[in-house]
Amino acid sequence: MTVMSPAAATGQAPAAAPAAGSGLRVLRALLRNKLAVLALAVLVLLLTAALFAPLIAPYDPNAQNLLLRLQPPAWQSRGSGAHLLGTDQLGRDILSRVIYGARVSLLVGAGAALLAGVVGTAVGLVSGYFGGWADRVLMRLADVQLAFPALLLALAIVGFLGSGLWYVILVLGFTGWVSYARVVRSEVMSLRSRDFVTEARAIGVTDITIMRRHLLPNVTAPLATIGTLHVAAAIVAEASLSYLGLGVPKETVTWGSMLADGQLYLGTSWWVAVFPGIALMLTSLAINITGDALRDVADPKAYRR
Amino acid sequence: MTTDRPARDRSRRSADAKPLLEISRLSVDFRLDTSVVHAVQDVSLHVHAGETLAVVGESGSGKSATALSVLGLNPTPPCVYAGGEILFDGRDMLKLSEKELGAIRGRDIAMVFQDPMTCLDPLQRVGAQVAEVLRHHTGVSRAEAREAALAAMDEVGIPDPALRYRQYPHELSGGLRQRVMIATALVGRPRVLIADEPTTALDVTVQRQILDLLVTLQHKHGMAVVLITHDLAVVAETADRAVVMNKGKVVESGDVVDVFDRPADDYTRRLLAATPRLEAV
Amino acid sequence: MNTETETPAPAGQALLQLIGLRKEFGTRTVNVAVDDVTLDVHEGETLALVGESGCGKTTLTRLLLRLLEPTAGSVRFDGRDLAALSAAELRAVRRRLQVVFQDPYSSMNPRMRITDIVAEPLVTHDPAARGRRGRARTRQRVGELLEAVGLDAGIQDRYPHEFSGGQRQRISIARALASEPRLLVLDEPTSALDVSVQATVLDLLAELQQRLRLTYVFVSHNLAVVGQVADRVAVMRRGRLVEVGEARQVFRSPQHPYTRQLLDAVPVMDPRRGRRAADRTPLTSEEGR
Repeated sequence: MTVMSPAAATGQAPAAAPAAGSGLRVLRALLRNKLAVLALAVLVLLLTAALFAPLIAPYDPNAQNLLLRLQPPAWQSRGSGAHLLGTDQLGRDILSRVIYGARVSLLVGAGAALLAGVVGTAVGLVSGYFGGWADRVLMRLADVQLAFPALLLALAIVGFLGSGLWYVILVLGFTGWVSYARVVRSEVMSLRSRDFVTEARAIGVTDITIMRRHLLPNVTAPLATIGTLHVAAAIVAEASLSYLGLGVPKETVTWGSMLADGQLYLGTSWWVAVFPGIALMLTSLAINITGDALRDVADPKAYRR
Repeated sequence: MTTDRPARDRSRRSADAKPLLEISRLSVDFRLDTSVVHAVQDVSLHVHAGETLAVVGESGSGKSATALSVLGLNPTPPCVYAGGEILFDGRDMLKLSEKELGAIRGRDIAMVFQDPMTCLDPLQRVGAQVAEVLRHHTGVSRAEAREAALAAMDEVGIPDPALRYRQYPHELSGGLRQRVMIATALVGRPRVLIADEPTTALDVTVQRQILDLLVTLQHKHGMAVVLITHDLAVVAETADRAVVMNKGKVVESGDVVDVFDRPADDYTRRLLAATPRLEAV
Repeated sequence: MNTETETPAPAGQALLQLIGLRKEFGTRTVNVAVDDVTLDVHEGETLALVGESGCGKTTLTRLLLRLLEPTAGSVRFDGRDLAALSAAELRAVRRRLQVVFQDPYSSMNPRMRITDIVAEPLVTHDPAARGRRGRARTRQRVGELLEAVGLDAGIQDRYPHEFSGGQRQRISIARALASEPRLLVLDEPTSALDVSVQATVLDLLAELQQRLRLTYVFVSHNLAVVGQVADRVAVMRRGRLVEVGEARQVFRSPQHPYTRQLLDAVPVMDPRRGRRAADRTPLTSEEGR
């Protein structure tokens, strides 16, 4: 066909593109966005640092050297090449601590997002597909959840259960499911009136299969977006908890606890707080940018037709 | 392409009068990311005052792109006007600025679209939307615009216009919404009305009423009507002349009786054969 | 569609029976969408269900597919009351009772390949169609089905958005045929298609009906199309059936004033007979609201 209306043309165009739903297509589109590429690079760097921290970090992050307390970064007049980003009040190497801190941050971020995603998606699917009393109960639950400030709730639970990495993940996961549930629910509610869902019901396909085969694949795009944003939020939330001394145990290095430590010396030794702060900010920024880009490219107009 | 035969006098006009709107050799392209779609190719057509011209075609025929070109309503980009001219009142519409077009839209040339629900602002009372056209084009007072809007709503057969004036689009039935659209189009007393599939979204009994209304109003005001449609039966009922489009080109044009009785083009013949006829039962 | 004329068949031969069907919506203000509908659909015939938007024809099809529970009345398929069936029995009946929807764009899961779309009824009802061994057989069967509706068997690994409206509608029909149904509900199957495409899809449906001895419930608002395909016509208005009869009879000598009004409203395909405004008498009826 050489000639068609614009509508027909756009409807036809994806035929030339690789098969729908392939991650490759999304990735390729993502790579066209320069800022997203940069953000992705930062994330890859971070992930590598976290994975290979023992190999990369110049020192044991908890090794103290009271003789070298509060050494400034290498480029400052009193700084030394031995500690690129300086040392903290106990003489621990800041670079090593930032690298090790990435482990906790990423683990907490990914863990919390995954947990919240699984819970929220399940709730959203059930709520949106069945409607009725199930929907009413689950959504009231979501309202109750939202009525509590997430951080306050986290504080209360950590205070009650005690601190620890897994508790933090659990707490941040369970306080974050509502946004997933809301989005999945509204997507499912519009999907369930689509003919292909009605048709599946007419064929006799079971509800579980309909949710798995017809609904879930069609809500992944918004899920991925919320997921990335939630990772960033969870990392910041963990830092806040650690800053307040309620996060993970003292001997586990986290950016939040580093910030808390450094704040006392902000006037004299700024580097103690600033470097973990920059790491935190860069990470959260990179994840957010990736999330936005993902949302832009993963909205497949071809699917919507 | 449009070699019009001597038009039969079905519309009370002299055959040699100058057309009110004349499109000649119009080409419209849509430049997409990777390809160019020649949506309209070398299309010529014209319409006189008091006459109904039907532009018939299936999806992808370029009929809507042609209609939207008249008021410069194709989205640019991706749309590019690649050639030709659209003469209205001696002026080439393609050369007018957005501001000059704005003065013509809704006033001299008005449009009615297929789906009134997407054309009406859901948050504004329908009366205000009818009156807005007048307020926009003429400096009339609020009260005068309201009077004119009520009169237009009455004219298009909306029962109890004063009540409907205050209602919102979702409170009206599909047929009433389309009547509101027509009132909006008519309130500026246009000389040309372009109706793009005006009854496609409507039930058959409502379609009948709307078609009747359009013909009545045309006779009353002597408008030129360009009716864009895919439905040959609607053409047979309302049009004086018909232009058949396929894949961006005009394949046939002429008096509607000739087109139906002696289709010259193979595509027209196929279209006529494919259309189910109630009379055949 | 069928050449032989349908004489009203004895009650025993009705494949589908709707008995006193009623459906109400809403709790506070009750809205009766379907009101006491009794109708038989005979084996091998095409029964057209005609009416304007909001007349309840969509609700009625949902009731007969058992996607909605009726407030009162019953649906019998092949003599069995659907309400009395267990979940497993209902699934078995659903194999024989399939549906094709109007909008070929929303009737397919955009993320599924054609092969999985067409195979869904097979996989759902036949355990042998699943698993590694079943997969090869299923692909074979899907290929046959696609060819039966005039498509290439080789399109199985493509996605719905790669196809035109007419092709998609053929794919929908292939899927509906997959579980070897006896009755198809065709819900405005050609309303979203271009006229020339519509004609080919109608031809396909007629051919399939002959070959596979299918029974059709053809829901449409387009009377010209109905006139072309239907053996019998049921006219619906405000939830009720106002007229049921042989197509020719209903079209030539409508008994109910509403049927007459509907027929009068259909535009005539003859520009000379076209009721131009001058010689038209305005309709007296008032449209809704």
